[in-house]
Amino acid sequence: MNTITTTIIDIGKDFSRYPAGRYETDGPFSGELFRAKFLVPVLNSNGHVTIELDETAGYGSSFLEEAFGGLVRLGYSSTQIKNTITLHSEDPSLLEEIEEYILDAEQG
Amino acid sequence: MRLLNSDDRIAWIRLSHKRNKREKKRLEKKKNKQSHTRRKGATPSFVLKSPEIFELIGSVNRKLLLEFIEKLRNKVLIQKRRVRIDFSNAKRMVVCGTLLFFSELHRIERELGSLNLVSCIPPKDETAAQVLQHLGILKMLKNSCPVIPKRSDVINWKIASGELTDATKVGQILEAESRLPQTKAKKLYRGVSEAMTNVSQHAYMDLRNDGAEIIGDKGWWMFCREEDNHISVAFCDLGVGIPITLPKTMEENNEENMFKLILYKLFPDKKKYSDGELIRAAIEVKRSRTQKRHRGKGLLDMIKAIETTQGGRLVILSNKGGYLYNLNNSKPSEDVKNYKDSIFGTLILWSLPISRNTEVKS
Repeated sequence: MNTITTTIIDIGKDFSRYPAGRYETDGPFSGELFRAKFLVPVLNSNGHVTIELDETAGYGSSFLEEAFGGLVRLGYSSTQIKNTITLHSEDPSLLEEIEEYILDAEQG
Repeated sequence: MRLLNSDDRIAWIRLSHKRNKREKKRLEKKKNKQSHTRRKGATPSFVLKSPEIFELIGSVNRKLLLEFIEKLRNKVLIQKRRVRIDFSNAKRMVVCGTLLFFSELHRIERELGSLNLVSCIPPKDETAAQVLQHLGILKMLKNSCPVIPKRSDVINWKIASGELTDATKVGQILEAESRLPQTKAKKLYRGVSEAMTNVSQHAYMDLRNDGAEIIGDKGWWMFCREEDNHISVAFCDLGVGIPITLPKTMEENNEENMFKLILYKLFPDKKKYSDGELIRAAIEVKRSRTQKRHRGKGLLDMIKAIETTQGGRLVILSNKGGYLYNLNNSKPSEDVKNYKDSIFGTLILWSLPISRNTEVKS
């Protein structure tokens, strides 16, 4: 029987309390870097991750879109992303926004 | 030869002394005059009077401030001349105008390697002097004015600056505003971090059209100020400006047709659009629900920072244009401003009341 390991990633503690920017060329805590460092490895390992979103100073749309919508552009389907990544936030509008980025990216 | 008697000899000696003294005086005077002329010749400082009010939204104040900044840039950065800024009459240092001046001064310093060509006469007004001291401007200009910043409305000005999209300092400043509710701080962080991303990606895509022709221009500057139960955050870049970057960003996002359509809808009788109208239309494109969210929602993030706050205000100034968004009595109002002079860059100002009970339902 295959067991799925669930990892918990707190963006504020494990990545940066001050995430900002889209690409790695923009700055040190970009959406592209977060995706490459924390999301892609889990998707490639068939694991599961819970992302804790609240312990940061906030998010710009570029960071969120590149981190999550960018997964679709790398070839992962929205179903695969939803099955692998669970998002947690006290702010429901943040969860909706990320979901929208993933769906929009899938629609092209 | 006639021999002098003792009286004549004494008179002659006295006369010689007098002549010598006169000659010595004449030579000293001449020497002083020459040295003064030489000193003046070596450092021909151009005295540049600062405006009384450092402000950018009202047309008159804006014109005076931009003329002052342009002269400073031309004399120091282009002509490499010594300039003595005379701040004697400076009375009101408003956040947006002061930030633009501060940014220009830092750009000149970075480009020339120092501000050795610039000196200053401090303001007579105590508050204005405290502001310049607190912001480090008097020190940058090597002025030893003894004024100590102590007024509460002066020492609460916070500064951040950088070249990359690294919002660490900005986030720390916003989080340190203890009276600012976390939800508002997060919204402001969203707006500022997106403004920063825009700077990294687009703002310096071409030479700034200010005559200085600096290759590799970069950077952003930010002020945050709490006053009378309001918080103001101003963010500035000295890039090519939104009206210049718009065609490129619209093309990247396949939004050119939508942009043209919205311009036509908003300003049907126009053939040529002002900078203010272009900014207004760009915001409308981002609002359009039919547009995909991939890329380029930065302008909307800037509005989101204040759009659910009663009394919230957003000002976007870019080149010769301005866009103003206010939320009063739960009703948003938008205004477009067109100016004669360019700020040669972009300045965004968020202003919102701090208290919790100003949130309105979105």
